[in-house]
Amino acid sequence: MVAIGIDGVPYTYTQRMLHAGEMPNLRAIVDEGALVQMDTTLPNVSSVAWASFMTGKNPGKHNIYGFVDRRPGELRVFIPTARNLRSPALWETLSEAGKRVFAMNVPVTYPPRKVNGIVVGCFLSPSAEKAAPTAEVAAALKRLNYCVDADPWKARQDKDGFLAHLDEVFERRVEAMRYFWSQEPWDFFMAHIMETDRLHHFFWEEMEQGHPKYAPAFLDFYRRLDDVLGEVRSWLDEDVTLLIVSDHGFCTIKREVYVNTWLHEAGYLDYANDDASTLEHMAPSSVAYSLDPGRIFLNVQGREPEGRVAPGKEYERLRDEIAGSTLAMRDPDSGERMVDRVYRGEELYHGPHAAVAADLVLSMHDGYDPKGRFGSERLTYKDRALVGMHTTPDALLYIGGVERIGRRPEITDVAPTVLDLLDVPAPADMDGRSLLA
Amino acid sequence: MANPPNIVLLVLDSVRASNVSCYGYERPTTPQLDRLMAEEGSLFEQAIAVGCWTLPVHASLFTGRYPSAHGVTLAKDALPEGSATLARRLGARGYRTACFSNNPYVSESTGLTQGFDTVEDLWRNNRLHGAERSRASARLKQLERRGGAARSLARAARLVKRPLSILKTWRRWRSHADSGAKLTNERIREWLASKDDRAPFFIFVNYMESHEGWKSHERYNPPRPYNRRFLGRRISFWRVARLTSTQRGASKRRHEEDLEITRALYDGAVNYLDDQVGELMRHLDSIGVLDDTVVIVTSDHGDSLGEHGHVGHRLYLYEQLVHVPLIVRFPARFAPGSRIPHLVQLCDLHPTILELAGDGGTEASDFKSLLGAPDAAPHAFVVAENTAPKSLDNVVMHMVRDERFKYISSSHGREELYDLIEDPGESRNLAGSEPSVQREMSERLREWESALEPARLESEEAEYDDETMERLRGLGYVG
Repeated sequence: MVAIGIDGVPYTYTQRMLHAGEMPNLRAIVDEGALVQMDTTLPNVSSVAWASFMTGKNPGKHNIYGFVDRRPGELRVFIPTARNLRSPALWETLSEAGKRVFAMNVPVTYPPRKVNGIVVGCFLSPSAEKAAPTAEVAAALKRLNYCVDADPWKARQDKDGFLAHLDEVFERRVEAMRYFWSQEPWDFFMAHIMETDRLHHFFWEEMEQGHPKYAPAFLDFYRRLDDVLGEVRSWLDEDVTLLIVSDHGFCTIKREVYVNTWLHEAGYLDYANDDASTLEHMAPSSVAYSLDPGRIFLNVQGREPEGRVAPGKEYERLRDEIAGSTLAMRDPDSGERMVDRVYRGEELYHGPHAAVAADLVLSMHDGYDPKGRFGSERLTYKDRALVGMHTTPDALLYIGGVERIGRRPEITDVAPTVLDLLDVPAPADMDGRSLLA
Repeated sequence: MANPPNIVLLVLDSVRASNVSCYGYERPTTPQLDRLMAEEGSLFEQAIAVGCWTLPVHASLFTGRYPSAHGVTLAKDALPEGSATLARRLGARGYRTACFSNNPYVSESTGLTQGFDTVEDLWRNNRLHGAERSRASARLKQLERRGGAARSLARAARLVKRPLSILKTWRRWRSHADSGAKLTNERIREWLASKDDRAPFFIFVNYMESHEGWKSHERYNPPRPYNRRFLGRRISFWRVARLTSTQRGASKRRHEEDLEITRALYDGAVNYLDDQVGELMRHLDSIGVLDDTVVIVTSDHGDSLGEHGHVGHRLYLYEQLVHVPLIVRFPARFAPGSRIPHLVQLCDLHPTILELAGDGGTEASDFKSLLGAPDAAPHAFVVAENTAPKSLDNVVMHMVRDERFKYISSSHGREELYDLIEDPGESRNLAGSEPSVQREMSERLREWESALEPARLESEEAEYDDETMERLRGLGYVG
């Protein structure tokens, strides 16, 4: 089986491209299987979504809740990596069943864990060398000029330069994909393309508005992606199933929303000093704080180092109060509501690691991108460079060789489906169910 | 082969080779070691530690991997439960294992005590300041950060706290009370007496008196009378209490005197531990096990006592920090009175101990057994790492050293090259002026890095570097 991850490619956008005849290779692929829209995780960020993809579980079981998380008992954050992933990944389960596996660049696989085969770490790897599980793979990546991720700061300085850079990173990634594909007849081979997500973050608005230079460049990138999909298709024998997956949709950002500013202005969050910029600067008198993206934590006694909210009644009362008032949050410029729905942690997560989840998770209206910055004076902001944001209901899933997928899938359904296709029993605690059943 | 021997591994925390008298120090700091160990055992003249602070070095000693390979390199890291540690492997070969630790970094929370049958957390009840600052000063710091009136309050509290803390130190200064090494030895004796079978034993000890304290006025604090042993008569306790931690604000003369006092206290601490080691050896002899026991005396790293402008450790990879004493007493396998001139890695002890215990070992080790060392140098060069980035503006350092040259490369791009024969004080950086040597040494380091098997032991929480963080920031993923 071969799986291609295309980060942040929306189902609806590919439909548009297919109808316009812009992606002939994908068209041919879709004719040989089923392409459907898929729901992803909340928060809808890559770390969480791909962790759910590879484990078939909700974050309460795999323990990845965002790009940052709190250190237990401290007011400090860290970046969760594969070391914090508390559940076997798809390729680990396949390894145990004796399959030879390859996975490259799927978030969150840094640092690479041991498998029967090769895992090349994801965009969290500090360097290509560190993404490699062995010296041999490191040497191969070096020879291939492999690049872990595009540098987003280039996009902020020079959009044209960034496009060229993105092409380069993409080309090297595809080169590495070809190299490892030719190494041995893998039972399971997965390569992940991050560049689509990066393109969307910096050019989605230009694409939507038909910018004279960047809209064609955007389309161009998709054509190259289509070529690569066509090439992959040409590699496959008839008995190999092709899978294509994305982890969330995209839309244009109307405004970034600084949730901590809102909490501060509403009197829930106090800062210990005037130039607060991190969670560490939260004063003990605070009731709540927010981490990216849209996760709200109460400052709970016994959990936060100097927590003030008593667990039980006071916690429930304050949580209800904050949940209710976030719903009323409005864009100061347009007057639009910004929050679509507020989830309590237990509505979204269950499992052995559910206790570390946020108390509230905001699901935003499209266009309002929740940020966890501390100490900002503004509630909302429109960034000129960073123009695209993730959406939840618009991920995509393609499975080759099947006529139709009977129900609307969730991202946790993919892993059990893959196991089903490869005749390996799925672990009993997976939340998803095979789509073939 | 007969029963495998008992193993006693004594780590005198932060003791550098140059202040041990059988390593040529002019002060008689270690008469017991000189006689009981050096005369009856093998002395490794050039043992180099893999790092410059407790956690990564002990983790290397227990796993046989370099810090980059085991990944336990930051204060928050821990060895994952279930690691094949030295204690666990010896336990599997029928050893009774016990850990007596005075250093909180060697404890359950770092995963380093896993595999031991008995763990004595001596760091909990001794009065030395080990790795952690007191809660009170952490609170004050928090308060101070708030600014405004809170800051003034914190400062006032500090003014009161300092005399109180000096008073406490004075009481200790005057007392013979000893809750460190002496108590440790008592516990070891009790444990040996309670052991009712004939199984071989493995005892690991970390003694802490030679480790610097957090406060400048209690930097090294051996009990009376060792505290005064090398201190000039004219130096009063009050002068000691006024030791400052930095040169800032002090005259050059005053600073020199501060360093002199610091050295005298350190030497006193080494002398005290020497007596305690001697006492333990006599006990092993009196219960009739000494000659069936491999006794190893060493340290996890050295200490800087003013050299390179520093007091303490964790910052650099100069000789003061990495050159440690290593003496092995086991006449059956190590020729009594021999001195081994070859360069060895301190963590060569890992495969050595396993070999002595009859564990052939299938697990990879980065190190080499010392049992063949008298005849042939086990390493053409040795390597050390400074992997605690926070301690030095996030700079990671690697050092490679052969019999003559030492090359240090830092992640911020600085390169250092010293000729240790011409310039043992490492004061003339030859980087740039000896390009061929520099190239050769950096090539060795690269070779070493690429040959290093990738980390199989993973610390519980991964580090992330600034570049990754910056990328996430650039994407707006992190505030």
